[in-house]
Amino acid sequence: MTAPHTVAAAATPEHQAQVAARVKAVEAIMIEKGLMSTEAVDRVAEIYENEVGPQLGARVVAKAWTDPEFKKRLLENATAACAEVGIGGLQGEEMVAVEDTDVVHHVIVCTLCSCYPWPVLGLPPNWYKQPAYRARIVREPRKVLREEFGYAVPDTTEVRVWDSSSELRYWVLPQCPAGTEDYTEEQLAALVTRDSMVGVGTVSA
Amino acid sequence: MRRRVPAAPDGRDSVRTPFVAGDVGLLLPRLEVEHRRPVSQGDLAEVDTRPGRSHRPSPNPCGKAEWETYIRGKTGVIELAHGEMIYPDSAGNGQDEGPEHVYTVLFTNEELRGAEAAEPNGSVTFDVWEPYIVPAVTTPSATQESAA
Repeated sequence: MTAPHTVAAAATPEHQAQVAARVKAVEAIMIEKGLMSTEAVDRVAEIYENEVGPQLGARVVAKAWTDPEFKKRLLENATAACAEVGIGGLQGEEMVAVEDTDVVHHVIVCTLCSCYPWPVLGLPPNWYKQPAYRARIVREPRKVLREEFGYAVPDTTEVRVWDSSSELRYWVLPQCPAGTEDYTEEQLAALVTRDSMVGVGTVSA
Repeated sequence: MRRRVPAAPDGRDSVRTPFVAGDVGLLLPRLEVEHRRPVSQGDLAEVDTRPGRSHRPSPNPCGKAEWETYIRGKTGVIELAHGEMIYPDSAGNGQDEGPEHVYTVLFTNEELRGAEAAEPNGSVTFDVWEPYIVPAVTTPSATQESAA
């Protein structure tokens, strides 16, 4: 669940239109110069629209919740653990999964651009790429989570922000909600949201 | 909060003097090239603030060659040691990959923002390539105290 965010509203429709026009222009030039083909562009778009998305990360989370040994491997080396279940690829070569507990809550950002773990989450939402989120989440994460995402992290829980880099991709292993002891892995996976793996939301049953 | 590091062999103040050949003792110890092994977990380190080490253009927008100002000169604890990775300052400037060790360094909000402005009970991690950090001679508790 993602409510409308004022951090996202910082990007005006005019700005969005400018970005879209610039991307189209660059794409047209690259195709014209033979650097890539329209088929390649369409295929990549298709992959990230239909095949790769947070449903993959949700599968990994649900498996970690139900398989303690897998969870251990995931926290030790997320890239290798995801590869076990056939998940990996571009922008996920060096992934690190960080586990939420009552003691610490994690949230991810890329303050310089929009680094994001594509293989488990797909492409980043617009608000993740906006300067407002990137600047504020490292300065006042508790406030941003509360005001923009409706997520009040208890004062007794540390909020830890992971600023991604060119090489490493962090994502959050959220806490398993109470009352799901009888759920199957598939049922659990259905509960896991993109926002909970970014760290701007929780998982509820 | 700027931290002093041990004096360089010739007695220079290593925080304010750019590296020269032979300054290797001021870097964090070289780690075994072993992926994702947090050999120096818990070590303290300071992000380098030396002139010429920041704002280098890089074709990789996330190379962190363009340093965020919020992190410069701060003292943090090595959270993860990742082994060697492509060094954007080299690869992004038409040179070879020049692998350097990369660390995920953990900073308290108080260290980054000061006790007054910091959101309580919070921290930020940032990935740092080895040329950007030098050992800091302080303890985590000392960091908290001087930030307060």
